[in-house]
Amino acid sequence: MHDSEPQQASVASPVPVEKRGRGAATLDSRRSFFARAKALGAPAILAMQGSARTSAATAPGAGFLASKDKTEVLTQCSATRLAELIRNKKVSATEVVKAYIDRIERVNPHLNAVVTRSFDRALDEAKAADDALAKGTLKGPLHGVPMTVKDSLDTAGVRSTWGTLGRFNFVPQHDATSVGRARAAGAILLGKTNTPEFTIGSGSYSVGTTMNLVFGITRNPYDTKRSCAGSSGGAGSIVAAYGSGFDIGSDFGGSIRSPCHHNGIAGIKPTSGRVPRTGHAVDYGGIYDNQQQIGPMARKVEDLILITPIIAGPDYLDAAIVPAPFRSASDVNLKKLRVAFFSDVENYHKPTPETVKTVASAAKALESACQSVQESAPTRYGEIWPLYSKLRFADSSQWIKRLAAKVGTNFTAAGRKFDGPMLTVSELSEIVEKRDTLKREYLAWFQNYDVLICPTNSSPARLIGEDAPPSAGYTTIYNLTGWPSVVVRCGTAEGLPIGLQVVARPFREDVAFAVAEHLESVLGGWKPPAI
Amino acid sequence: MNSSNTTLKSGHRDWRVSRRRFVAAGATALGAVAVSRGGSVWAADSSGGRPGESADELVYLSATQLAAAIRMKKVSATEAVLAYLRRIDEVNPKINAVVTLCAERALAEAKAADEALAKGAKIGPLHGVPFTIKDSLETAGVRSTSGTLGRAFHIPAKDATVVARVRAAGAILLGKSNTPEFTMGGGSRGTANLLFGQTYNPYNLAHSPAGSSGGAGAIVAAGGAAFDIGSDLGGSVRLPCHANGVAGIKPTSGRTPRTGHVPGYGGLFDSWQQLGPLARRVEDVALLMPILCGEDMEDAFCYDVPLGDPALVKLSGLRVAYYVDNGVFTPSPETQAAVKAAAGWLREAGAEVREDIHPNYKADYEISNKAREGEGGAWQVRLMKRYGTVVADPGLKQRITGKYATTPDFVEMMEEVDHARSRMLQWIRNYDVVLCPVSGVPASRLDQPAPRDANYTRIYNVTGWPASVVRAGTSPDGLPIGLQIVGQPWKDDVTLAVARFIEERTGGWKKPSI
Repeated sequence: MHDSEPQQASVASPVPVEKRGRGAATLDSRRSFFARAKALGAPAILAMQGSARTSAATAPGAGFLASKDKTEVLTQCSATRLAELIRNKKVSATEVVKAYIDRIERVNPHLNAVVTRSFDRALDEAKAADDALAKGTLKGPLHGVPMTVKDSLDTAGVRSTWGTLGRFNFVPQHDATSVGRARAAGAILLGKTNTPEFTIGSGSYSVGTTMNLVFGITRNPYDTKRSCAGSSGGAGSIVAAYGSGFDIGSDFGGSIRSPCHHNGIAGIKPTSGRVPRTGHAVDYGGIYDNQQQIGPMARKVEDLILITPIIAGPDYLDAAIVPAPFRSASDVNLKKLRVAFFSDVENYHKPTPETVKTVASAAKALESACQSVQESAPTRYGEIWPLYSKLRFADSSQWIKRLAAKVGTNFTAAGRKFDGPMLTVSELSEIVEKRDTLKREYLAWFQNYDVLICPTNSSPARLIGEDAPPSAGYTTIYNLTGWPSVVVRCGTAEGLPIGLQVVARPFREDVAFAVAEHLESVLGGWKPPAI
Repeated sequence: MNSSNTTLKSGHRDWRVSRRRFVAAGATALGAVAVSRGGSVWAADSSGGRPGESADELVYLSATQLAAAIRMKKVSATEAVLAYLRRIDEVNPKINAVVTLCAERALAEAKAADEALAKGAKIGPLHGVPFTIKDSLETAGVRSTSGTLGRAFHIPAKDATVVARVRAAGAILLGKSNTPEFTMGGGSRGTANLLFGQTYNPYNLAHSPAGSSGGAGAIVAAGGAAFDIGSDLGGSVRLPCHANGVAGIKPTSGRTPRTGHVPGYGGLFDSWQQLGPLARRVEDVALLMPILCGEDMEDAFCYDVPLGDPALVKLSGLRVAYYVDNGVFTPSPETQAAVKAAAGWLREAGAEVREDIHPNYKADYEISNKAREGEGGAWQVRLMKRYGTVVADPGLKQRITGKYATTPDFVEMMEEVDHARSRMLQWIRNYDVVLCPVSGVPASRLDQPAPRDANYTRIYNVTGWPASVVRAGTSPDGLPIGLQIVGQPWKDDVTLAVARFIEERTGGWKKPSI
């Protein structure tokens, strides 16, 4: 836990205050935020700054974080700061939910990120949250914070299509474990964000962005002609456009991290075994089981620190979950960390010059903060991708065909091939073994380092439909190793965000968080898009 | 090549010491020492005190008691090593459990251990305690064959992680215990291979010691080692514990690093393989667990998850399920009676005991078998190739069927295995421990084909749950009957607490007449 950090309201916000006059009558300016706080009968905002704690009845305990964020525009605040403002009654949950609903109405026609809305229920829940707080009851560390959820995760009472036609009108009865946990901690669901069918691209690769036959194409808020990446592209797009406090995505090969990079936000693919996949389109089990992880996507690293432990831990349904201790990022001593970094390995990825420059600036930022910084990549790094490419299509996607049949999808995503060559079981068995041998070698390499910095993709967001090379080379390796990987925006190229990966040893999310937070503070992190 | 060729110098004293002497030693001075080492608080009162036992000889002390005695200088490490070497020399020609000896190095290490202790050097919790190790685990400087001809002369440069850890804690390696080829070639013979031949059960030489850690089970039961470390892919620690009447555990999947085990980790059935200790007393298993467990930054499927202390587990209120018949194989009446007796004792101790079994046991068991068989033995073929083995043991050959499933079927089976795991996990959420047989029958006669006997154990390799074994009964033929105590994932401590409780009631390990 962070100690409450005094915040100076008199210091100008580092983030430009949003301008009115772009047809956004309901947008929060700093002034309206202040006025609102006063209208509520709350103490003047200057007085409330620096007091993270509230009355004994609602005194936050373990799991509550004091925000370091100083953003003044309500919808641009970190989720952590929103939670704090609501908890301290500086702003009501209803106000926050309304502000985000307004924002979604404003930006979604340009982005097509939110594909199902649960606004009425959200407003009811916000009212209930405000009533509860008035009576001194705090539901949890996310009390009143609005969120969206990737449409591949089931949400009780709210349509969850998984991006497939067979579930076009499907309304689940149960929340996915991660969603249920976030809601139990007080978060309020605004709606669902777009995903390619089953989160497994194929069709979306042809246009290079999040797309499906149910809802169509999702766009990048920094340039709507460009890709928001995928598969958690709706999540990345709407969180970057501050239409949601945070989102919960899933990552099978880079599906949290690529959208975080493309949309300039923060996110984490936690360690394999951290967060239950129960209620996700592609849930637990099978030969790719260890690859799939669920994690939060938000504007600030502090939000990942707040939310990840809330959704982590065994649910007695997903059998791969390990109850490893979740250590506190605030206990990490940067001075003791040995940092490795690379931007390319033997001309394998061909990153853009700006990407290389961003990695270099991150390495420089860590030189003074950490014990050592050294250019290094895991031994035999380049060998895992060819193996994975074979493994991925071992049964020529028959498992996806089965999944489609199970949910009654007759027309599956364009571009899927079910009649390609297959491996024999003997070959499959050998490839899995070779993969695991590489995992062992990579882990042994990591004995020499505590954290690894590298690009997320070789370039920033490309134009939708632009012919692009497969982009998951930088990310999928950490699905295979199972290591936690945080993405945080560290640079910009022609107005487009560049996010870097901060990778740590298994179950050491705390280390990745601490380093990512440092990079965010030095290099800026999320910036509001002009949209 | 056989260990019986190794002779000890004559003239060793008989290290028979009175039980009283060690009991007294254990009771007085041990507490503070053991607790400060972070081991189980059981170690603090390791006074033995088990009813009806003849464990009054040095070689039959528990490893915990022996460590205490050495620490308190009641006995030297050299004395302990000599006593065990002497015992190996006595029993091994009959049971063929130890296949490679490193007697000279052990004696040199014992001498160094005694000198270190005399100088007041900092010592580990296993200081001077002699052990053997399953031959599928690599031991630096000591031949490690994994029972395969291709490695007949292989001498590793490096210890397996668990071996290095117990040696760093002060334990002294005496030699290697027999394993079937690659731990998988035992077939109905339990533990046998082309290199060293058959290992026999110390309670009845006409019977199998089970496998694959059969050498470990046999030599520990016979008092030839204070403990051993085995590996368990389908029951290979637990079945020998059962057959030889010793205690042991297959820890939760992900607890112990398998680095230095042959076959190595990784591959489709990676999570099934675990390493675990075998010893005469449950307290020894508890002592060894914190030493063995935890990541080594090489085995990518091994995690640091806190390990509870079994001494702190309260039996009262524990939710206990038991079953005597899994529907796959109906156990002998004595086996069923042993499970029921254990359930009754726990009820008396205040546990909530219910007869129950996970639904769909048979189907969930069979799907994992189907998946394993669907792989066709491709794994074993690669192992032979990798280690230069041309001629395979008939037991291993049995597994190399070449009958591969189609790839889509196989991928689906692997999904079904994990869905079975989820179903079983939902069930065990209602219980803290499950009592059941280890095997339907006691150690089988070598001249009679054994019934397939991993049907009570393999399912817990698939679930990954911890499973302890302790002797809980005796067959009409005088063979041991073990009880399997299964826990929720990562609750290894709870299974050990119950094992210890049952051991107190039944006496646990009994000295074989060999």
